[in-house]
Amino acid sequence: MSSRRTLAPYLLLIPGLAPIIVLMTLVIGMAVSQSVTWTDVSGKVSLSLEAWRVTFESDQFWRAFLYSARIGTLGAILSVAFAYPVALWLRRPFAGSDLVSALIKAPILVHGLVAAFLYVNFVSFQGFLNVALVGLGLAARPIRMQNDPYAIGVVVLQVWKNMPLAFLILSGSVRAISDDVLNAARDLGAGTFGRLRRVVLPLTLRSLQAALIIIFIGAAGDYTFQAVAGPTSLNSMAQFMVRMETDNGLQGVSLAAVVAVMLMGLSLCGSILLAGLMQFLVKRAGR
Amino acid sequence: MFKKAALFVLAAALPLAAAEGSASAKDLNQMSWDEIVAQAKQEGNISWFQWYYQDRLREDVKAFETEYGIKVTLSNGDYKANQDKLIAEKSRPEGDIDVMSIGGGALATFKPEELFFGPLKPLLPEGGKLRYNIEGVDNKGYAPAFWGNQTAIAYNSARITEAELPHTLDDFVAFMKKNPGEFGFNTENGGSGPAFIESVARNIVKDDDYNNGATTPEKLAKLAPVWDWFKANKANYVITASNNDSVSRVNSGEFKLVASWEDLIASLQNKGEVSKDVKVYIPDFGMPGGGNVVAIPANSKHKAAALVFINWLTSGKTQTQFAKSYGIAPQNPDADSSAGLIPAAQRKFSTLWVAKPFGDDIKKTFVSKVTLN
Repeated sequence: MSSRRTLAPYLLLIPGLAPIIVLMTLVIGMAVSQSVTWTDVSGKVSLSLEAWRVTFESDQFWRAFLYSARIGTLGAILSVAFAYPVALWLRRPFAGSDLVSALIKAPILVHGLVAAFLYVNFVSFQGFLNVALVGLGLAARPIRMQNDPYAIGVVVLQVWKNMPLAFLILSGSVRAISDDVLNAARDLGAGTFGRLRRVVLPLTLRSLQAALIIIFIGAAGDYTFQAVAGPTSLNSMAQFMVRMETDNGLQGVSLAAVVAVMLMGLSLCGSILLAGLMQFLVKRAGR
Repeated sequence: MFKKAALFVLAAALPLAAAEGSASAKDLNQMSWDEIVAQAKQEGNISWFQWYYQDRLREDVKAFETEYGIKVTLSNGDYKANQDKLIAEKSRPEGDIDVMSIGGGALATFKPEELFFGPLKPLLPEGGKLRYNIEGVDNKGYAPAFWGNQTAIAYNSARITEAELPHTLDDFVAFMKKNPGEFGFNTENGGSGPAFIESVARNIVKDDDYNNGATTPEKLAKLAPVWDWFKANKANYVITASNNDSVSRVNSGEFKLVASWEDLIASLQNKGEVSKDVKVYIPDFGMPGGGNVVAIPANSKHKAAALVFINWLTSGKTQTQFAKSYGIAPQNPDADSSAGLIPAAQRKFSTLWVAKPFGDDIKKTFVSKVTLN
């Protein structure tokens, strides 16, 4: 009877936990297992670390890795940096604040592929931006901005698409800070900046970290923005993974699996680093 | 009891059905063309597995449907999906594909006599006039060409005069130095950029075996001077995102020159999407041209209808119509070929595509050695 009582809560967890564990195990397990197989020219499959060796010796892989890490970091930090002041501004409702809030969230409804093509049209040689620049006399002739080599377009798209997400995550926690707490801080002599550093930022740290992590993972694994608006001389990790699979015949799946595992590793490590960095900065600011 | 009887009937009927199928295939060889047309009308419909311009071709085939009363259903699959389906169902007694479009060079990787019904050359009324040797591959009369296409350099005549056009590789180097960022070509999403890369390779390394599709490390190593050429000029050209991206950017005046397809430009001009200022030419060092063929899978359910359709598709009338609407190089000598965009005198510079998979490997190596380095 007592053992049944002890077991019952754990058994009740199974319906919730099982799908998560099974799905995660399947995806990660398949990627890892495929990354340690190698198919030779005769089609014979064997256990091997050859795919890892080949991938790690590829300069292009490391360029893609660093590029995705850069896009993920910039995308996450800039999205949060733009969303945070807006979330603070909209903390207390005012006339029209609902409209502003709705407008900020609008990009969530636009698919990334549509946004990427719209952006390319906007910055293209005869696009609105160039026509405006030339028309206003700010440029003598149109400027080539499409698929720019510095990936400014990709970062712009990431921020445009992810800022509403950061706003949604942050606005809840910002609104949850009670006026009593802020008034108390004010009574104790904290100015506007002091209240931000010592009260608001520490109380919203978890949301900041959550926003950074979610955006970093999405941006580091981006394929759509990169394929449409990204530089043609660089691959993102997702692009590189697809290229590995299609360009390498029998070994393609193993090589792509290595890139997939490394992309998961990048997402995990990058998230931890960003969250840790944010915690460090907030604590420092609060001193 | 009933069940047993039904099974017995089914078992008896299946071999008969198979025998009937093979008999009708044999019969086509002995039928007159009128008899084939009559049978085609009885069959009543065909499935055409085509991988591009399906929407527009659905409009074009209405003329065939009206003339013969045979319904044509066009697939929506891409090239690879169609090919995979052909291979996947080759062992089935009856497949879903009646007419299969395929790149002329791709037949090097198949044995036409095992996969396709035919040869069609003696069965088609105009079979003797049609082209079966395309992109360096002779398909032995099994698959007539229905679409001739040519890669070329497209230029915006509002920005560059005909006299200024580069014709040799040295001209291109000089042009790119004088006009940095004014020449673009793609490496992904379309074959025009890869065609330019192949052409440069053929001219810089003349003694590689381009007509043999096998790739060896030695053959790829020989191409090192080609990658050096591209790297040396890298600051002066632009890699575009696709065939279509190249065309839209030369059309907008962003580029003076891009690598492109003659039929793509003609087709877009006919639709009014590209200005008539955009013109095409083949440089003296040549660019590859080829085409696509149609064949009837051996397990097609409607072989007579497929045969009548291929006869219509490759006829002089349809080919003339396609030359006007799509800018193709007609594949029937009776067709009017004056509708092409490339001046007739430059057709002699058309070269064969590098045999596959070596041709594909040249592009892949370019991406890894030049684009991403």
